[in-house]
Amino acid sequence: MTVKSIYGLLVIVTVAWLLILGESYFFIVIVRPLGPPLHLADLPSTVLKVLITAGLGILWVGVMFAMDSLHTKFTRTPTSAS
Amino acid sequence: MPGYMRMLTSRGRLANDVHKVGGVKVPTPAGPLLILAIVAGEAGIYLVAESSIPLAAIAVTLVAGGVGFYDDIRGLGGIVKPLLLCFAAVPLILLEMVHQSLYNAQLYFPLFGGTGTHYIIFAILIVAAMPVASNAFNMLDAFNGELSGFTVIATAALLIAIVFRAVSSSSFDYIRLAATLPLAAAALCFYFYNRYPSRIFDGDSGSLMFGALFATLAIMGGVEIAALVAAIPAVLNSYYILSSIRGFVEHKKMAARPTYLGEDGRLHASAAAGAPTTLVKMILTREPMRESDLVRGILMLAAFACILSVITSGMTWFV
Repeated sequence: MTVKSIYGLLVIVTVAWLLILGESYFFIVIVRPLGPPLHLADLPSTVLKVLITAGLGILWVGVMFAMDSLHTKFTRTPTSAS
Repeated sequence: MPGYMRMLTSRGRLANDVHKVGGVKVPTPAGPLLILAIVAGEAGIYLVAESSIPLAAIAVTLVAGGVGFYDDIRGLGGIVKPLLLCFAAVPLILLEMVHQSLYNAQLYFPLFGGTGTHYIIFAILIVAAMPVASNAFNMLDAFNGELSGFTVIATAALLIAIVFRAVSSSSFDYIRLAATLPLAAAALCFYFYNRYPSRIFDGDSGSLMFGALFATLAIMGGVEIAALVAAIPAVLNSYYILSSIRGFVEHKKMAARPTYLGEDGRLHASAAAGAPTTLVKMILTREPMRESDLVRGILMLAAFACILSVITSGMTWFV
């Protein structure tokens, strides 16, 4: 096995980690101050916080799928199938 | 373990090692023995410390391991299995309601500190975490030593995260650290029998239990983010599989395998329609390789995630 074989995956794992850190920053600094804690907040503020948090999750998943597409594009296509 | 392997063999509990030439058969499942070993370890900790933390670990081990064992013997559907695994969260939440010392209902993020305390939201997250973690570990269980090696490395990251947290907090309960040791010990011992060429397979009883217990120990240790980072390879693998096959499908019912064994004895990425995308397939797309080399690549990836997890732990508790 050459280490080259996992270079692409190392990049994907690093991007996944950086996204976790970046989204943590966005969640704590931007989303959390949007309103009082969920059990005390009114409905619009609660819905907004939940939707943005779900959006962060969807963004993470979306970026990972994009990374998969890029990885496939930059690696050799298998020449035979089972 | 050798006696247990002989017992499985004499009872005909054997599975094909599909990545070997010549129809090699391997005894399975090792899960019940792993469950027994972990329960014994946690029971010992309970007898010494009389804490509810090892009791929760025992309960989760038995529920997740029980679901896996039923799947090993009778088989469970692609949707039923994750639904049943949600019940692994029940003892954890119930024990917390009774003792209120099992976990903090808040997440600690690197650099930015903790969230507020939200009991209901945290309980929902725990219920969701059980099937996600269990299935993520289960889906990584395809090659000799792949899951057992990954569990050893990820649990090492978990141990380091809990040590960092303990060092940074004067009031930290060291039972949380001790409760992680049976998982680390069981996974490490099992790795020596499961590594290439495997002498025994863990079965779903082992892999689902490993995942559920890993999540439980991360929650009780209050190191969820570091654990998530350590488990990134398993999480990515399961995301890619689920997205490529568009839903929960039992692996025995998948239209095609992601890899195939070539005449050269090396594993190749399959280009067949319906073959799921996995981390292994992504590695093999670049070049075919022997199973032992392939697993080494996955374990290198796990080690890299472990390093990122340690950095995350440092950023959470010391920055």
